[in-house]
Amino acid sequence: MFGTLYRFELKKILARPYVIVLLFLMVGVTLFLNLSPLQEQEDVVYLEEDGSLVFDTVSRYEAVQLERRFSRENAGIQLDNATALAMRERSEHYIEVSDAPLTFVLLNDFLVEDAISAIGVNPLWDGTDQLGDFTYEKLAQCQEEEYYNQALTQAEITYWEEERAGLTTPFTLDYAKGYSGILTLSYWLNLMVLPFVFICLCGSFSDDYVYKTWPILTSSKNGRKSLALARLAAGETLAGGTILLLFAITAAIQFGVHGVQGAGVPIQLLEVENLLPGYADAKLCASSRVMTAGQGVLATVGMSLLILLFAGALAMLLSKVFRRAIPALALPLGLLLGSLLFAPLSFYVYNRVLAQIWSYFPIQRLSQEFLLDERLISLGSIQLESILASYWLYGLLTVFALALCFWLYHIHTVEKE
Amino acid sequence: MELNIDRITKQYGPKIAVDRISLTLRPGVAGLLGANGAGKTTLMRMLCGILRPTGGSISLDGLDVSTEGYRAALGYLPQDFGYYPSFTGLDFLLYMAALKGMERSHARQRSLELLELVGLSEVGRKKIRTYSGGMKQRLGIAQALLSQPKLLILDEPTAGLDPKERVRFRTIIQEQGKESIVLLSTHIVSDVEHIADRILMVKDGQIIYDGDVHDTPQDLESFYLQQFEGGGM
Repeated sequence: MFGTLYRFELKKILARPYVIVLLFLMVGVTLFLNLSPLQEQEDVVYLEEDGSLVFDTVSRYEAVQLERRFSRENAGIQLDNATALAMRERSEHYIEVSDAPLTFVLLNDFLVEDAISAIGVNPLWDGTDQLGDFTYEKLAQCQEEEYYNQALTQAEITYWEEERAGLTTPFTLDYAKGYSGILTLSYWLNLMVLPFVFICLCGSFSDDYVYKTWPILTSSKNGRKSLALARLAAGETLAGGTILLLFAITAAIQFGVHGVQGAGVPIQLLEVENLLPGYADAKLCASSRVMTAGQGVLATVGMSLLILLFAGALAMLLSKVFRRAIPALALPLGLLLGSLLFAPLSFYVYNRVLAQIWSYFPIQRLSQEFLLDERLISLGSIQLESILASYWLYGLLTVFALALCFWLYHIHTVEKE
Repeated sequence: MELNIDRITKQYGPKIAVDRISLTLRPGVAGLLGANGAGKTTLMRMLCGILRPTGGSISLDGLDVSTEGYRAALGYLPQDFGYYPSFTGLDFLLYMAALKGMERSHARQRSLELLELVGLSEVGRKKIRTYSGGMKQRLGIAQALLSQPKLLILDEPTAGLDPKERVRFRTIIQEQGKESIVLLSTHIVSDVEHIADRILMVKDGQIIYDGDVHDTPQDLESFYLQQFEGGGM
């Protein structure tokens, strides 16, 4: 019986015409975000197998296929002084012989060049022959600067220094653009699904009052606990299912274009592009976490899923509390908009605690700096990292919202007045 | 089979909407007559377990009104029947069947039978928002009959029905009343005159007349008007 009620509750949500329209729109935007960058033209320079130097202007998609081709040849090499120097010298040689007006790095050395660039070093810098060592020094410097940026305490700094001692250097390189592509788009996927969930679920319990169905529902055998459970399950299915669908589409395209290799690449070698013009990319080189690209993607998808489940639970709870869809929609949507527009810069400059609290708001947890957050939460003798703390926080909030909604439905099934 | 209503009361602050009503109903059709605001709907909502009485008790064959077993035996058509506009008529009946705990295969067959019975078989797969007022009311009657309830409570069931549909409705209810307890409330006398075995007249929350429909001293309509002008028996 639960299964039938669940199916009908899901059907009730999906039967509203705007739901399917919005769903298709989100899928369309996801496809656009994934595919449109592949059309852009870019200049590439590479050595063919016969030794000839090729200058070409190709689409981003074709450039990616070239990157993958050359990366396959170099996969598994280590980023050290020898490989860095070999890359630089080869590029310098061909810049000289080709008499090209601009400097370039051969695509054949893409893996090495990309790894060095991700850490913020110019791969053609000739200030030292120990370019590999210099890159790792720069990495450590980035990580220490990040401790200062986040106003970490000495205890936290000690914690992260111990953590980053576990990073295995020299790094083993592989082509991981599929993973950084997913991380780049995750913020935008969440930003689409959050209001969608609020819109779809703001009427889930208030509709009983608007459409005056509550007398026949609550007077029926399964119209109390079973119906409440089925309705909450359907709402959470919509919320979680939608974000997972968009991530699945993104993953399919990113892995289809870039390949699935590179899951074991350390996150320090990933650059998460900011799609907003004028805004800086998130440089994960500043992270002290011992985490791979695959783990980073899983952590991000997991966080997104939890936040969307919470959003769904909150929308349904507000729908039950207010008995009207408009306030149930306006409140969370207003908070979302407010948190998007309001940038409390003063928090970050003057108050570490307020900045840390702000960072746990949903839109902040969904930002590209999520994996960079190194502020710990002290619970007595236990230090919780931000990722684990976020999982617990949103998991508990979701369970609380669902339980409260269920309880309110249960106590209100029989009118007293 | 017996529905026992024992000194049921509903008070809203100083106002007493239902005043210590005690009744026993057995299979057959009982008509609840009264003016607007007499307490009919309040009584019916308490009988359906969706409004908590201030005092008294209600039970069906020993099952208290608050139990799942009571609700399983109940079919209810509220005064202001609501529906989900995006559902088709068939979808709505299947949804209600699931709420009433009916098995899927039986639910489908029963839903189709009822759509035929209430004259909605041709529009069963259309969205309810396209239905006329009378069609929606007929759908409401159909959902109340889904689980072949032992206790059928109908609040103003003929609202919005045309004369032909009223006649069809009376036939359905008479048939239902042979094996179930049917309580239908209305302020249209002719609705109950032809189908009810027993008449209950409600005024100011109290039963002012309880008797066989044929035992009234004059025709039912005159008798009814007399009660509400003359202050009751």
